[in-house]
Amino acid sequence: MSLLELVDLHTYFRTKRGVVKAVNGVSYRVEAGKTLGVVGESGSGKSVSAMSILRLLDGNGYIHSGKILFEGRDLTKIPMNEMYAIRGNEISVIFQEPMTSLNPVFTIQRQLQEVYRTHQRVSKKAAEEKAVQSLQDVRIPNPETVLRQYPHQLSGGMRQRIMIAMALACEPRVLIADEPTTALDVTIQAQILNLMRDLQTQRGTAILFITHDLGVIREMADSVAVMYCGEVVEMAPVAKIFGDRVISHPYTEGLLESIPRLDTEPGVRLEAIPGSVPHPLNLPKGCKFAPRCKFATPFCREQEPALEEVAPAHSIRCLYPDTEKRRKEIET
Amino acid sequence: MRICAERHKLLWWQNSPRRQRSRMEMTMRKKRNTGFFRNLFRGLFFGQNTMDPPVIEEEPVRSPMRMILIQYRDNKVAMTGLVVFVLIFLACFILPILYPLDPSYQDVTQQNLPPGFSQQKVPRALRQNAKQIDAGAAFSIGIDQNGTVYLWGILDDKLKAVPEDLKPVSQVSAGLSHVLALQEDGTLRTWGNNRFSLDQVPESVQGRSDIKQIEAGYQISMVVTEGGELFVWGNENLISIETGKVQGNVEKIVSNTTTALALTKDRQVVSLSAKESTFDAVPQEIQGRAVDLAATDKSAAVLTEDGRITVWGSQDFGVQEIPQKVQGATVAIEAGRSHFTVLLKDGRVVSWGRNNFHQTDVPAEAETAASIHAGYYQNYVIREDGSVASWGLKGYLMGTDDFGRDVFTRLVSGGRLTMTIGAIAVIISTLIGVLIGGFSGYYGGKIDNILMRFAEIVGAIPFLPLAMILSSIVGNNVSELRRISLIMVILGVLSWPGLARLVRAQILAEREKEFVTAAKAMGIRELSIIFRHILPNVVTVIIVNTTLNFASCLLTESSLSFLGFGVVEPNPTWGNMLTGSQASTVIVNFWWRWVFPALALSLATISINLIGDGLRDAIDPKSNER
Amino acid sequence: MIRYIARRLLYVVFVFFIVSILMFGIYKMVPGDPARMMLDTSIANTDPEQYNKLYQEARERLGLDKPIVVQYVSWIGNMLRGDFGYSSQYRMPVIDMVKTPMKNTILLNLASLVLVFGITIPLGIVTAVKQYSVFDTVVQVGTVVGYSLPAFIISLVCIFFFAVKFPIFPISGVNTAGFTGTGWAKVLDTAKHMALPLLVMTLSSLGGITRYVRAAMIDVLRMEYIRTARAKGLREKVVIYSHAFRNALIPVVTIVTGWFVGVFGGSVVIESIFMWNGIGNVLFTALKQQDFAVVLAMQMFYVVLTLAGNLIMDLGYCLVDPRVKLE
Repeated sequence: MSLLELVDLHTYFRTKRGVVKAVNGVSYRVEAGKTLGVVGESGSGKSVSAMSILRLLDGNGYIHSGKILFEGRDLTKIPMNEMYAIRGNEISVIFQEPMTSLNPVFTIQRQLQEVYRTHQRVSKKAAEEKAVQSLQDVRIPNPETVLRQYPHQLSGGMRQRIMIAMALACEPRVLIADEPTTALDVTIQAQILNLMRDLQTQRGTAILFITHDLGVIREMADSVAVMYCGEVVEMAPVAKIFGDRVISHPYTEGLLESIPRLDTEPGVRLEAIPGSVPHPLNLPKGCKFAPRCKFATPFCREQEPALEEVAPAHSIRCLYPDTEKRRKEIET
Repeated sequence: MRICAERHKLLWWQNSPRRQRSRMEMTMRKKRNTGFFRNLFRGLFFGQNTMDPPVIEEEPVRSPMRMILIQYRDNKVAMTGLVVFVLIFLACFILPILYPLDPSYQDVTQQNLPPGFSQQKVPRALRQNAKQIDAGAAFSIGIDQNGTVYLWGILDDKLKAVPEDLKPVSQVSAGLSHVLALQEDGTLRTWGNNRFSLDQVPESVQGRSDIKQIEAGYQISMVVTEGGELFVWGNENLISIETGKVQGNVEKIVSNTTTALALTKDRQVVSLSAKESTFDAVPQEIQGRAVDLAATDKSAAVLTEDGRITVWGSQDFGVQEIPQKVQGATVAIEAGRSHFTVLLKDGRVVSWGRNNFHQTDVPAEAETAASIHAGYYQNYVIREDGSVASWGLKGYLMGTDDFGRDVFTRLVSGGRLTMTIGAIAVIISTLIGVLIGGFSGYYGGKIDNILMRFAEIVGAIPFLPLAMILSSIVGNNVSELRRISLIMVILGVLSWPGLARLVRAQILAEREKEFVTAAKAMGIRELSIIFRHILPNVVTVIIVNTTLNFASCLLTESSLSFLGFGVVEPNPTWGNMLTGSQASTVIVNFWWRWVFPALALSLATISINLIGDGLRDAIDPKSNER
Repeated sequence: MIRYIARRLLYVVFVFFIVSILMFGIYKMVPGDPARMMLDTSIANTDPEQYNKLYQEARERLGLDKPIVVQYVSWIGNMLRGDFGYSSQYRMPVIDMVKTPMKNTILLNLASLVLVFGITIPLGIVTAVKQYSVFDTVVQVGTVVGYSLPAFIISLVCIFFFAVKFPIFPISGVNTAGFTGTGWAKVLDTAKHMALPLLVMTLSSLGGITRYVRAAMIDVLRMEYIRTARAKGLREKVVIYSHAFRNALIPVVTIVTGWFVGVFGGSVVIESIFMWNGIGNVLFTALKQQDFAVVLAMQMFYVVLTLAGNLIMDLGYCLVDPRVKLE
């Protein structure tokens, strides 16, 4: 049994112009001590699927159907009281924007201790010691000073470390990292990623890593789920995604081709996926990627493909998963 | 490329990289622009024709004004506000043309009358067999062939209290607020207003049964006996009458709000005024030939044996312009407060004089009259068969105030004044606010500092007290028009700091955006940057703020006028119509005097605020939570 | 922090002088001769020479024979020493005349402050949290109506209901005429008289401030740190009343003082309607009777009040927003 498993999750948003199906039948698993990377463009539903786990959706969002199994318990069914006990304690989150994710009017100390005092019955003194310890764990120099400071007095990297310290304060089983490094400079990014990996090996925390950056996925993840328009289009161990690519989804392929790499010849143009993600209220018929897919056939525009296991531990949602075959198809 | 550019429209304000690119292209293709202001206008309201970037188009892009209109139209509350406001606006600017206001008009006989049009509602039972009718200030009394008394119009409890033992009546007369009734046995009864002993028949008259004519006037009662004796009682301070010179010789008596005139048995007309009056100058040529007499407030008319009319006294309202057709054909004359009505030989009826309540517009059905009965602002005609026709004042839609003025007329004219003052004040404050905010935001540095400190100082002074002080110090001893203009200026000059601050903040925010930097980097002139790039983004802030500011200017003007420091009597505004309404007598007894202006003002400000909120939501959908 | 306050203080003093010059200028534009107003006009008829002498004396005493700059300096000097001039109407120093009204006004305004914020803050929070609910919609409609109505219309309606239809409260004065009781009896009597003006003052402020609090709260509830707080496992109550409200307080602080100052100015209307013997009413009668020494003193009081309000607002800002201190 997986530690955390999403089964056919549907998360919708009510809007003035209709119901937006942001997550439309997503299933993925996070194994204990392992990292699952979820990749996709903005609007693909990757963040929403993760936020559904802890019910951290915006006011107009709701889980329409599906299961979220955590250690066998369905999180969509538990009462709010139990959810409070899980949040920040067994499953915690790191958000994208370290600049705005900390409350500007409270000291770091107060925000950090809040976690201990909510989930663990500890004295003030013990909480203070723990706070210092947790800041040391995320490699913050002179934690005593930092504790007394306000968020605006700290840099982005420091704030993200504090977010991580807060998230890991109660030694959670699962850490949801929602684009934790997107807003940071590249060097800081590397430091944060290293820190996360080290902490993971020390504590055995499972990580659900959400990003649009395939490079980061390659660094961090054990397996990968690629999402497009609220659906998983490809799921595979990280080696297969970045491997020989005998079978792959055209979208994954496109994503990989659009990354600039150090080993490409100068002057060679990057292959970009044309167009943009369709509007969620105006989804195309058939395969949702078809309008932007260079291999799309009339068949693709008619029939919606299912997510099928094409190789062991490798599922693809495409009528033509074989890369060679579809190249030939387009030529004929 | 050019064809492509004409075909697609792109939002100038859509906050996306595309927009910024298109803006730069716009400025680069400056030479093609035909006119600066025309373009500015087009840019503001219809969007700009610009190139479409080579991306798959997902939604048709619409011009910003149309987008705002569509957004606004979908907002039910805001649309309701708009409809209500437009109705109020039209009412305030069209109705005063149809119902013009005479600021100096007052009428003591019409004070504090409730709303309603009951003044000519002749009771059904009387309508077919009337014998005689007389009109009072706001009510009328009539008797049928059987001598039964009927009262209609605006009646207070005292007037309604018809004596239970009243015998059949042969003659009635209505005054300001009391009535006289002569019973068939020749005895007199009176009821109604009980001041000045008007509700009691004096002892000298009580026993008599030879009364010939009765006249209930303006807080006065008069009777004439067969023997030509005249008895007068009531408020003799108000009506100056000296009966001595005609006593024993009176044939008929008529009265108005100041005095009385008598027709003597020897067909002379005598002014009974104790003081000198316009009525004293009775034309000599009619003396000895007079057969009937009537008096308005300021003029009198006499009918001579030859059927001719002679009028003397004041010339106001054309009371002396006697229609030619009545001369030589008249058989009876009656008068209201400022008009005459005559009955001709052939049964036709003619009225002339003041027509403010249509009292001279004789209807066709009054043509076959047997007798005429006029008083105050009403006319009644009884035909041969006893049926009744009437014209003149029917009542007031919203009642009258303590000066007898029509609340409805004042309400619409007051609305026009209130809205005009509010609008001009808001224009002044918007101009100042935009200029100061604009300079401050665009130039920054020292200018910004000085201007904003200045705004802070102006904003720091409590508004209402200062406006009161300015209005009472500067506004004294100037003409009403200058006073009103002064109030507009005071309101405008004191209420700009808020807008200036908003405009400044918006400009600061816009200045930081990339497209302005890019325009600067390309060497576009500063003025052009302000007008073409920054202003369109600020305009929305200005529109919303101006709308909301308009509402608050209406409120402030009303508060000032309410306190007596804004527009003052006799010019009406919604604020000063409410002055003094807090007295509990007004609140309870004369509800129409405060409910209607209060309702109008409230509806206007509520609807304007709804429009402002709706506009803000339409312009910036994100803010719709505010 | 101290430097910041010192700078603000200096600025406030500067503004005070600018405004006082403006006010003095307006005061000088007043038609009429204050020296003549001080004198008993009956002497002029009986003994013109004596009157003339008295008049010259009065002019000298008031310093009207000196240049305008000297007049201003002596006026502002007197002001700062607590001498606010001489009321021509009441024939007593302004400072003695306004003591009781000042007490009454402050009583009324403080009571209203407590009521308004006691109601609007919870209401604003609840409507923000339950955005778009039926309750929220009803309150929204109510607030638009509330802030669109001028105080005098609210007064009329309140008088109609609470003094005429259901005669619960008296409609004028601070105490019943000829009231001599002391202690609790007096407090009770004053409270009864205060009820209607207080109700009107509170009602006319509810709409605007509720909307403001709600908007501030909605803005804050959209912030990421609110999601962080929820993700930590904090209960919704803690998230809203501790994390969110503490932030929403920052914009609210800016309007508390602004509102308070505005209410002092606006209470002219309410005080004059209910004959509440406060400084608004004093200003109103003084203006009606052309008693300009009182008017000037009142206006300067309003200015000082506003400036003090701004200063308090700055300090309040420092207290609620840690980010300000660095400036």
